[in-house]
Amino acid sequence: MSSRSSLPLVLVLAAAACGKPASPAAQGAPESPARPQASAADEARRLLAEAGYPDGKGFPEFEIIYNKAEWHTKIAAAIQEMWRSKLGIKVVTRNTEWKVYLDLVQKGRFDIARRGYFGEYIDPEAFLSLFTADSGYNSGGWTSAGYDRMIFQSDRELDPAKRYALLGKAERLLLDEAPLMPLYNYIAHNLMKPFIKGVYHNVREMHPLQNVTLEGEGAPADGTLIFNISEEPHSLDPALADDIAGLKVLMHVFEGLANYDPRDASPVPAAAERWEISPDGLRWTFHLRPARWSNGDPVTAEDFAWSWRRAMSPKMPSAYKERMYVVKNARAISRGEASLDALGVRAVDDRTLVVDLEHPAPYFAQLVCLMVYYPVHRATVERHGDKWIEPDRIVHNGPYRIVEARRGDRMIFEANPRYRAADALKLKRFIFLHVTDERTALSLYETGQCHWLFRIPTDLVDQMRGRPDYMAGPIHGTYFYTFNLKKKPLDDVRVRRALSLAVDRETIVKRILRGGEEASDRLTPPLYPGYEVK
Amino acid sequence: MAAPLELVADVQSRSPGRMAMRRFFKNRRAVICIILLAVVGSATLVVPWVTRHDYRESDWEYTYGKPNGTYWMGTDALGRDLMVRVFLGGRISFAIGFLATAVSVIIGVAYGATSAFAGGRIDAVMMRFVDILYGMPYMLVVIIIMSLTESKSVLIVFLVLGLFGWLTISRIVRGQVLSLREREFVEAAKALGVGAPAIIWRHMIPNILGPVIVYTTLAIPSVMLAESFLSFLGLGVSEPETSWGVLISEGQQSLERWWFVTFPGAALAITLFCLNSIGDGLRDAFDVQQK
Repeated sequence: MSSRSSLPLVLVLAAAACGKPASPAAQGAPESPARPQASAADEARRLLAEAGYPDGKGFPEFEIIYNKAEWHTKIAAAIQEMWRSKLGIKVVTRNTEWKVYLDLVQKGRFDIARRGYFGEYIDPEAFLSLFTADSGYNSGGWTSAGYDRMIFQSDRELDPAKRYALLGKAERLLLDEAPLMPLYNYIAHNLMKPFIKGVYHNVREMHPLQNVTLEGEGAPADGTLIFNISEEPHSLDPALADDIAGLKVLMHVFEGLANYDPRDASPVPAAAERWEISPDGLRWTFHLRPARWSNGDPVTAEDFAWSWRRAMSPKMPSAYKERMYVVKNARAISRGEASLDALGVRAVDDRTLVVDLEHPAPYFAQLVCLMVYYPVHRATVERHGDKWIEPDRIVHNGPYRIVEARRGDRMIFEANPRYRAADALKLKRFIFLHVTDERTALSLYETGQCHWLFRIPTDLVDQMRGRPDYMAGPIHGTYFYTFNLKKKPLDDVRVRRALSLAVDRETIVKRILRGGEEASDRLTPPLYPGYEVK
Repeated sequence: MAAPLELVADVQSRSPGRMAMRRFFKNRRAVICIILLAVVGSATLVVPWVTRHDYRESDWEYTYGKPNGTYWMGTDALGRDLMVRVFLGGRISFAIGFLATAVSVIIGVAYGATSAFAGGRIDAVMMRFVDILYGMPYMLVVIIIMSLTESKSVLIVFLVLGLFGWLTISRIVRGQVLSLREREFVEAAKALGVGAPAIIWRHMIPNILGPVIVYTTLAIPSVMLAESFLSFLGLGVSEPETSWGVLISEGQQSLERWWFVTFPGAALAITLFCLNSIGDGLRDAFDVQQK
């Protein structure tokens, strides 16, 4: 029963399986999987012994936290077993509800946490900026002055090749220091009824529903699309929302300067009809379309400026704030070192918004699609304080309004008659479900009570892959684990590297996820031509 | 003069306990169930010990594996042998069932006996407290405590289940003690100057043993069910440890793979059926009216 005796057995089984030509392991694996894995495990054991824990003796019992979902559970159990059998380390696992999980992770109340990130703009920096010293995401306590400097320099580097080189060097440093343990790059798995038209796979997995139509066999008679977005948004205040569910909801309720093109998720004009960029890339001028709030007030450039200042106020504890740090003085304001008026945004007139940036950011148009850049209605916010987002009070400018929000169940959306392009909305009504159990969601789908899923139980993925209603593709996201450096001995880089080396990522993607995910040993997804980690 | 002696001997051989046992062993179903339970129980002890598979060890080449020569009950999503996990899970389910019931029986007997023996105002206050606890949804309280403790140790599971399962037994014991208190033999003992502890030990306990044993055998299955319900909700036992509840919960996630749910489900069903039958048998055996 000892942990040492079981390891050779695993290797023997693996070796035996490799010997058989028809075994599933031999297909699709160009190099023999047993060997590199064994040497990685040896290296991990060596590092751990060097750090003072030969065969895991004396290593404290840490806890892995993750939010409730069947594949998180399986991955955590697999990692637990890999660490036990290869390193002799015992860890416990703990699953929590989404909101509890977010809270624990953001406050740094964890030992080892499952995490995942979807980069908000197609650039390595979207991921790398998460681990700078002042990033709210970086709750594990890892900091490196050299790393921060490289990220800072890359922001000011105008030559794209040199910028990528700097970012690639920064990522190398990050991975060598191993405050995180990358596992794989996400793939979007959608099951979608064939009558849903106008939805396309894109790397951001962003699907604005305005132009979606329901036609053909089986289309619901009431014209209501039902989509399971799973988790409930953490907050519905655009300045506080910090999760993907929040973005999926808020992009339909509010309208930012730009929004995602349903085909490729590139930014297209929304509240702004066009924008100009100064030759040095530092000044962006947005020209707004005439539009009204849901209470009839006109949407003005000052609404945007005021909302952005509000979002940057040191009192607003949003993890997404940093996505506005590119705007001049935003970082200083957020830290309380400058007054709100210093923010680099001003309304020249009712329809013209001028934004000054800290550094050139070609991806700024992608950033203004995010909820932290959405406008909010000043009078409503000032009158009701943090209760302004309640359904009977909310004033918004987006294409849909929330007619009903039932906790843990569903949100019902209907067209907002005051939306600037209300007549052009093709989809008039839709429902977001919050079913977090994939099995339940799948049976709702199969029985027609739900029309669209974006997650499939891992043990069924291989059966779904051939179906005509299955849509999949790589997305701009990475699944990883982070270590809390405040917990000894996780502050020792050798320990972190040993833990990371002992995890067999190929096994996790091939045996657990089974959906074509790519194992990854880096934080950034392989989606940027010309970018290399070195 | 011989007749009274004979009578005494006859009464001794027909003490309520022995008579109950005799009646119990005449009940065919209950006896079969005891044997079956002993088989399942000893299997949970022996099987994990003799098998060559470790319950934590993954065979990555045979995940979601059907039962075969190597894995008699198949493998789970992580390629772990299900047979060793079913029997090991049985250990935990049995341990939780017996220990949580023991905790609640000890608390319940002590509380109920104290309440009845003290009588008067103390009795009233103690019983109103039980009434208040009765009014609270038992499972909800357990779930709240489980979430608050943030601990997933098995110990917590049976402590919590035990701490909230003693209400019924305390009422049963109180009622029994109340009626016993007025019985002639207790009065006689009192008149002879026997102290309260001795009365409780010699006269009360043997007489309430019957109902307590019956209740205990019926409480164990409900605690086991409560544990599997908690596991269903993701509370309770955590990986890589397992219990029947956890295994069944995983099984219902993959109903296409019949072996996931069949083996732990069958084990739990057999155990619950046996415990309930034994409880029924004991109740019939101890029932004085049935003579």
